[in-house]
Amino acid sequence: MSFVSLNFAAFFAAVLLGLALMPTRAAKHALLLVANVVFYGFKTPWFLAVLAVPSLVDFACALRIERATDARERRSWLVLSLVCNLGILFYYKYSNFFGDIVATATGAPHLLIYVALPVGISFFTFKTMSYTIDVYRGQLPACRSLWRYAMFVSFFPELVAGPIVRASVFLPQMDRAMRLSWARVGSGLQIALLGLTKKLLVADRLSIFVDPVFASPATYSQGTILTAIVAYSLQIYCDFSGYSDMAVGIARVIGFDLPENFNMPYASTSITEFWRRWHITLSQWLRDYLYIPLGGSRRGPLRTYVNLMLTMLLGGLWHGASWTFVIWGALHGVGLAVHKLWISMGSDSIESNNQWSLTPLKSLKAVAGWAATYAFVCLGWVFFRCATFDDAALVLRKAVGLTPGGVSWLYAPTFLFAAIAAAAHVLGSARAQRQTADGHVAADSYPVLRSVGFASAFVITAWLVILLLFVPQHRSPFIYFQF
Amino acid sequence: MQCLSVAFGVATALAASEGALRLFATIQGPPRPNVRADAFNAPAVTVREIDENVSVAHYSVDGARLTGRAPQPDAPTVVLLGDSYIVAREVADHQTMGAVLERTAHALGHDINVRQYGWPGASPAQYLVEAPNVRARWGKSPVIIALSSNDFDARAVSGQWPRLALDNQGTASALNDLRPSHGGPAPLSVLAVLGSRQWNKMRTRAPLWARSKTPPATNFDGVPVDSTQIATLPRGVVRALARAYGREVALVYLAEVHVTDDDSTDAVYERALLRACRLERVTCASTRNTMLAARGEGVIVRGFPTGTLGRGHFNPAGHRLVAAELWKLLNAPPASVIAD
Repeated sequence: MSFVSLNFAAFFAAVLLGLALMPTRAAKHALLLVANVVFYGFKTPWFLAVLAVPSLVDFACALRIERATDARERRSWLVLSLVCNLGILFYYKYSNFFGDIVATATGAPHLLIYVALPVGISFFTFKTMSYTIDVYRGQLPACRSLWRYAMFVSFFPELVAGPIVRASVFLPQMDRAMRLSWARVGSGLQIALLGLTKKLLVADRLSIFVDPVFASPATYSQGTILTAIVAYSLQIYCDFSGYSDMAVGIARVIGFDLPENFNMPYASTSITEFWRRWHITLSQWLRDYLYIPLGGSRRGPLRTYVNLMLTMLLGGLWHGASWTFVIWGALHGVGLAVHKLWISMGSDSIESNNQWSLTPLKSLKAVAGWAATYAFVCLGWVFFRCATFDDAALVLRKAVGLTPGGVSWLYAPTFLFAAIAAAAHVLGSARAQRQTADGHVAADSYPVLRSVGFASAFVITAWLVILLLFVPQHRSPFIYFQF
Repeated sequence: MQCLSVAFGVATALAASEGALRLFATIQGPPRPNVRADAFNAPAVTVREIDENVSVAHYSVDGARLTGRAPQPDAPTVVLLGDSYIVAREVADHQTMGAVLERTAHALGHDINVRQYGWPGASPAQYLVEAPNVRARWGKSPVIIALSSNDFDARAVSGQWPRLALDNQGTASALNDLRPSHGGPAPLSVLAVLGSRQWNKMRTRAPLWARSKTPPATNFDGVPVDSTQIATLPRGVVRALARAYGREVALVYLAEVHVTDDDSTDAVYERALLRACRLERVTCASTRNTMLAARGEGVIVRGFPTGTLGRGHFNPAGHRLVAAELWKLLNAPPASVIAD
């Protein structure tokens, strides 16, 4: 079920009504669990089985890990959990991709497996894997209630496209009183509305331009291709961060705080900073469960670069079973390694290099860093957006003017949204620095109107009018649903 | 007190939105043409829109799409009829095909006045109904009728009234809706107009439980439309229009040429129309080849910077290309069929 549908509006209204009527916390949890099942199994009920199997295995493995006293036994249960999670992910997402590689390498016929990719499989697999790994590391006690664990795995606001919530963040919140409060409902709905606006008003409108241009890049002129690349950078940001905002807002209304997933990513002055601001929960997951276990930066510069490359290659592959995602991940791996090398050669630390400053030299460095970072990120988006390497190469040839000619289409909303996004990033980046260190949503993280009165009624009404009147008829699914 | 301030905030936001939107959109759309009453010196009505493009258009109170040029007193008049392509809300007055045609003629030393009448969503039945009015008002002035694919499919016989009916000889005639009109009250605010337009666009996407039931298409005389009738429409339409307006009428087919993917059924209707014109000896032209040639040079005739390029109504380049075809039609020998 998509957040952007009348079905979801009716579903969410029913959930809220139910929560208001349920007398106890246990009853509310039971209602939410039913809601999670309805949400995920609404269109394709068998997806529930794909969600249930690794959940049951992880639940059991975590209990076994905690009970086991022998290190080998603990490791065995962890391996079982990882094999189960990664096996299911591999089967549904990567079997055709790797089958194709093997067939190409050996000349054997490639047997395609025709199977629908369960929505959000990459997200919930990482979520459950982090749980067993945390229990194995002794950082988290195993959850003893299957229902609580099922609630964590299947929590509908973030089930299909994140943020990737860890059990250590979610499970303690289940002990809180789940009373609907006006403060939570008001701020949650505003955050959800912000996400809805990003998705419907910006991302869907930009897809009117981006989709045909990327579908037929040879048709369009250099200016059009360059504009489409910028438009796609805005589209994917508003699409994905819009979903995350809606997830955060909806969860807040229900009574849960989810970690923020984006923090003005296009204000970054380095690629390292970009990954601290873009898809934060995935970056943190890759850091904690892949990069650091590989050795992080503790084993010398060369090993650090290798670890960065490996982490980003797998991060790229996590997004999709395609060479374009691998290239996208590799590009970012190279970018991160080069930036680390650059930092190691100078006296600046990553942190001091990334700050916008009022001194002319530092400002110039920041502007140059921002421009280089944004251009690099856009280069990566070309591979991310194109279905094949040949398409991406054609887009890049067009963009740099190697293939002249074509139809010129300068889509006006791109420029309007670029200006709004730039203003929002400039204003918001200062505000975002107040974000709490552990990645939780700070009380004032979103620009939320807190008092109920003339000003808030005016702003919300005008906002709704704009949203309702200017939503395009064209609707595209959330980009990250495919992952 | 808090409730009052919230209510005041909501009301103020709605009023401010209404005021801001009125800068870009008008409550009333273009007036429906009343050809018999129309006059060159009729007062003008301004219509603004932000649906497909941000534009300002002017019409006479009797519904003629103005060209932005003062009428030339002794110049002959050319009457242009069509649907929303002729209403042309999306472009400025001087960019309409009629305006370009006037300028083209003037540049070649032949002043003409172009009077453009458009009925949004009209089928050829509308032009049949209007024939006596056009002849009464504009006498023997040349009449050019702009047609497109939706004039020859099921919508022509089962869509908006008036609708087409075919007799046993294959000649089309117009059927009017004899039921009493049940149009609602005129809207009072731009907000309501844009809101209802948006709702109409969105409701087709709503889930089944939220979708209002649309009545099945009414066929003329209650007889279901069959594909045989549809196939004979082009010839029946050409024959009927020639009878209604005389052999001087000229028809122009407005082709669907997009950026990359073209509508194959559109070419079928186009060929059927041109064939019918040859058989009925009616002057006819299609814009397809001109538009395809223009596309080869990077000129796309449909769409605006705020929407999808290649889709929707004609942009100024499209109007220019159609005007070029109209000029060819006006100068063509009788019963010519211009398809290249």
